[in-house]
Amino acid sequence: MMPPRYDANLRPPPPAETGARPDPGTSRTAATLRTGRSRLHCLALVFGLAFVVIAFRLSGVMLFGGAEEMAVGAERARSAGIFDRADVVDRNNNLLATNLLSPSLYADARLVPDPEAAADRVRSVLPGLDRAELVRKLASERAFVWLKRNLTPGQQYEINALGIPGLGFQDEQRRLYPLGNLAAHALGFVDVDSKGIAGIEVYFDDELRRAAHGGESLGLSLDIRVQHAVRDELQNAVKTFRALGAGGIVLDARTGEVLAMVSLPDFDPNHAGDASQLARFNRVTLGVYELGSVFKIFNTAMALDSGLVGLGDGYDASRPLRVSRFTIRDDHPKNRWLTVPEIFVYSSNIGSAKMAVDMGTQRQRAFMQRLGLLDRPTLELPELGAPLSPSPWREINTMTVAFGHGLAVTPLQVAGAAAAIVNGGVLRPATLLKRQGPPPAGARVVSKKTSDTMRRLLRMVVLEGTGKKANVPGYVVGGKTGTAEKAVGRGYASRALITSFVGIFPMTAPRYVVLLLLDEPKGSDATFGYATAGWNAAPTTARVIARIAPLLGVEAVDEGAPEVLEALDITIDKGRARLASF
Amino acid sequence: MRRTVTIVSVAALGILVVGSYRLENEVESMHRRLAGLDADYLQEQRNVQVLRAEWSYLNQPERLQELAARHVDRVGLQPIAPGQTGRLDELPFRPEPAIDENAGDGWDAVAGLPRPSFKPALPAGVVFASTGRPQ
Repeated sequence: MMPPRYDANLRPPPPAETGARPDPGTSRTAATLRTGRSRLHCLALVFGLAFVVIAFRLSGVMLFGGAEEMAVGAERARSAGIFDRADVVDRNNNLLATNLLSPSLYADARLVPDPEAAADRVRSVLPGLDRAELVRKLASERAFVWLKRNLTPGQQYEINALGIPGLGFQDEQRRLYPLGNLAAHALGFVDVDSKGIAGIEVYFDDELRRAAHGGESLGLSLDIRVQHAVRDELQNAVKTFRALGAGGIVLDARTGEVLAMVSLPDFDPNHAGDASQLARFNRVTLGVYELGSVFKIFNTAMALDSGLVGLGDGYDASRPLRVSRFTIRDDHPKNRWLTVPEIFVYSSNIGSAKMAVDMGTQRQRAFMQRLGLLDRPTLELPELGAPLSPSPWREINTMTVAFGHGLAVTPLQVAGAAAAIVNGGVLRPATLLKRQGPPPAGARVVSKKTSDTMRRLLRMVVLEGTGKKANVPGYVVGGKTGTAEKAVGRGYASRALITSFVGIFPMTAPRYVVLLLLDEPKGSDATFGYATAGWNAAPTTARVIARIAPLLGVEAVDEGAPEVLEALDITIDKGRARLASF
Repeated sequence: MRRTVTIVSVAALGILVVGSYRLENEVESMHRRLAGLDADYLQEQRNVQVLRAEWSYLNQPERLQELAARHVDRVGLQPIAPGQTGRLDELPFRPEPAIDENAGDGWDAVAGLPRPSFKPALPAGVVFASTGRPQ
């Protein structure tokens, strides 16, 4: 028998005959076997090592926590935030803006058999759609075309029931403002792709997107209860006094937080597209107005703070003041010499103008600058109106600015400046966000002493002067009326007024500033034909304060109590004298 | 010896195969359950969102004011007037009940206190209506 022919390149050696073992002496076979064995050992070692590693890892995970795995789980839970825009809430966590999923109708036009008939049937459920456009879309042969965004569940059901092939629904996020018109101007609104277009929605567009994944919400400083009280009373006032519109703001005098911001007419941000330009206009932050006598707060504070004029000094207001072609008159003429407190309380234009000229144009301008009345206001909104200030600032401008003409500013700025005058003399930037922690230091605008005097003077206006109708027994209201003629072209329209009232309470330790303004209120029998601020803006402010003071936790006090009288007493030069005894 | 090793390793292999198959199966079913839970969670989140929106919608101050005005004779809600608030420290302390040292059991000490009364029933005709959804 021939020894088997052995060719390593072709195949392994065929099995030997019975009982025969491969010849160990054949060195090639032995070498192959050794190689195979050592390869096997290597492989076994590698696998063994791998198993050891896995075993260690497993016991590690099982015995020692597995913090990373937990983190993965938490990450999963977080990324489950389903909406791509965060909620907006008020200071008490009431929901102002949120998202809902709502179905949108689309068509795969290639699958729609009869565009004309399909269009008619879709229009039987959605009559608002334009027929020609619908037919064009359904006949377009495109694979995807929107027919109508954001249907109601009922409409979705009815479309489904039509059974038209090629129509489909896709859930889309929709921004919802459950409170409707209530805080429309502060919130603003979004477009159909949930992109901010106005108000907070555009100012915090990026933040709202980022915060959505953490499930956080944006907390505003607004209080919807206060917001509603202001809006409700302003609506009543607009109706009663047949005004064109109104604006109102409530400011925390200590922190600068905006508790309410109302502009009428307003709109529903859920259907912002239907709103007129006028309704979308924010009178409080975007509109600039010459607010009239309200500015005497700043004029008087400036004079007293300069130290050049004391409460005992006075000016002659016995006859109208003629400057070049202008004549400055008093609306409530006393026709005599008036002291500084009297000029303020009886709202004398002549006295204020003379006082301002005494102080000088430079000082007035610097003071207005310090109060932030010459710059664009700061607030977390894109709709901010720049003031219209006189240029050049002549002496006549100094006179008119003293009683609030010739310098047009936003109501927001006036409220902020008034808060600074009464809160101890510190101007803090207004904010629409709920403050976390203590308020910022702010900038000092008048001394503590001046602020203290102004507090008392403002109370006198309500007790003795033009703001009597703003009084609310128990809440120690102070304030100042402002009646301004609307600027028309280069002159003023004497029949078209902007009336306003700055109300502050409680005057013993001011906490809140309420500024209301009415656009072109008319006189009525109830007001004896008067349309000035004392007859409309002041009583409206009183109603607002009566409603919001209990909500804000302001305690009603006995106004005749000695400590209240003491806190509001006015000291003039040497000795004490009540203003009423003048 | 070789035989035993072979049998043991084949058995071990079998056990490992069955074991890992079952493990894999279990993991897969857990994955399916997790996906189901995730979907449920998302659905619940959406439902919560709808309820939150509805709560806010139904709590519109304007609507509440209108309801309070319409049912004023039944619920009698009025705005707070200035004199209607007070401070806690304005309340007088409850007079100390007289404690008789010689009394038998401890219950006599509380004899002077008013006994808890029954919770007043709702006035007749008041029904808590379940609220409908907006739209």
